[in-house]
Amino acid sequence: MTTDLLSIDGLGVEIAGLPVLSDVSLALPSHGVLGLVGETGSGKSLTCRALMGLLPRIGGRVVAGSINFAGNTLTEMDERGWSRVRGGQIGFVPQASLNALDPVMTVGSQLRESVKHLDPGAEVNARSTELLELVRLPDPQGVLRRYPHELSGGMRQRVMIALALAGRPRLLVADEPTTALDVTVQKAILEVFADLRAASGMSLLLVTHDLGVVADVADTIVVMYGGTVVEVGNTTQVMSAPAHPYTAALLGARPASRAPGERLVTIPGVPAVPGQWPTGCRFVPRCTHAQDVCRIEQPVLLPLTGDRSSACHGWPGQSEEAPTHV
Amino acid sequence: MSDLLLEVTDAEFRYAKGSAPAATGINLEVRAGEAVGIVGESGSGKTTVGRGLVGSLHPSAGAVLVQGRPWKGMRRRDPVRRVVQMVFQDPYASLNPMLSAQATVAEVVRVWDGAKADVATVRAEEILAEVGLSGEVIRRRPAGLSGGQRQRVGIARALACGPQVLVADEPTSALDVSVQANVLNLMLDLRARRGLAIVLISHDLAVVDYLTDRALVMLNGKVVEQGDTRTLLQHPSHEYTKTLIGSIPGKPLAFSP
Repeated sequence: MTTDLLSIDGLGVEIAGLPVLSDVSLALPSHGVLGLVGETGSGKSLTCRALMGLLPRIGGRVVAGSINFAGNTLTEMDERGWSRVRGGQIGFVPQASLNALDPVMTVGSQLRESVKHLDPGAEVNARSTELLELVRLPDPQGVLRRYPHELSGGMRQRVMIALALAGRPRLLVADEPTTALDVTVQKAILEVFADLRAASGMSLLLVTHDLGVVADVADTIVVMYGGTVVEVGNTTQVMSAPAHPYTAALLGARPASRAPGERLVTIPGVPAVPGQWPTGCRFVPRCTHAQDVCRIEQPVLLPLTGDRSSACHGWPGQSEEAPTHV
Repeated sequence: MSDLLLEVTDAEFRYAKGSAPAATGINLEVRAGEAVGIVGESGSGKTTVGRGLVGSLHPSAGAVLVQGRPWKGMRRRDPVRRVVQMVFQDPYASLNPMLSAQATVAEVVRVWDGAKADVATVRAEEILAEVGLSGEVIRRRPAGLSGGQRQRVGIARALACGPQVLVADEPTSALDVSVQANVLNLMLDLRARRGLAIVLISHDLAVVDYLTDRALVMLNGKVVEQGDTRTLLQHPSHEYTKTLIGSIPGKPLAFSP
């Protein structure tokens, strides 16, 4: 048995018979922070939905592989079993959650409902206040009495995180939790995550398209493209010497990666769309290093030196420090 | 003629008479070919100033002059209106859903140049090619375009009347970083090729650093600091600017090759 809190092994997902994820694998230890990155349509959010057991609601199903959490195989559970884990042991902050609060219920009534349901032993009012303190909301008593529309975007996002924490989760899955927020608010929320990890040892799976955010908070980075994982490794190492051309392009596209006025790296073409995945490597149509083998054979995620892995047949122009195949 | 295109003097903007001003004490000059950044968070008044620059909001005090003339009272077809054009944050919301990319741009050419429909169509094709859109794509409506393509159409529409200043309000915030790179490269090209001045309104300091020469930092409707972008970011003097810079994620990796 592994010591990982969460491991996803060779996960394949279909929606209405169309493959949307294939061979997705990742592992997250206790106390770990994993950053899941990729462009729109790369499969990040679908991976979260699969993990939360929310695929049936969008007509999707797991067709291959498994999701293992704290010694249980989630993919073998029925809806009842999954719903005991979801919200309790795994907290979820969905994407665009700023609009996910009930507009006609006060923050307090929503939070108390979650506490009653997920944390039966707790003193409801005290715990609700404590949750708002955990996410560093000033004046928690006042916030409990308010309706969502009376709160700013940053405050509502903190309430969403407080709700996700109600069941004292061992893992928090947060899908783009800071994307629509101001940078100062974003920083405050990332600090809340760091506090929670330090205080309770909670693990975090953070989905984001912002490599800067990943650099700041994640130990491990998992890069997705075209519904599969293309690179995995230690965040600092991956960001300084990417092993996959897609990761390299994402990094080079950041304005901060170039001196002012110097041209940014662009990725030609558009992201791979489910149903139109090319044979061979899915990144081939956009890759400037593609060779013949890339068009024929899909590269698998192979281990590299330095406890890293990438799915690439090899490309010239890699940095000197980049890992090699073991 | 001087190369002064936009001049804002002690301007104050309000959305309703008697309401609190959304921005006050704004002073700004934009000259030909310059790139100026307006930085701030939600509610700082940066978009309000942008609206003032393009003449969609008139100052309640002070003045906004475009080539020396106030927006207020300018006729609808006054040629000075060509000088300043706007690029919006959400191209999907700002493009006519019923018009193809080509028709969107051609309409502007027809209206401003009095061109016949067939001439305007050809001209639209040229302008769209300049922003990197050609072939069958230009006959698609916004719903059939990707986010990056839509933003290119938004820029092409702004270019169609031959402006000298583009005021871009968060032009890349809704885009993936890879798509953002395309749009930023395009703005660099347009500046180099057409000598366009750019006013970039953004909360993203990395983007402002990358694209602009000068920048203003706004907080609660006021400019708290302004100056050369590099100096401002490397040696901020106002506390708020320091806080903003301290909040940029992934800073240790900035400027790594």
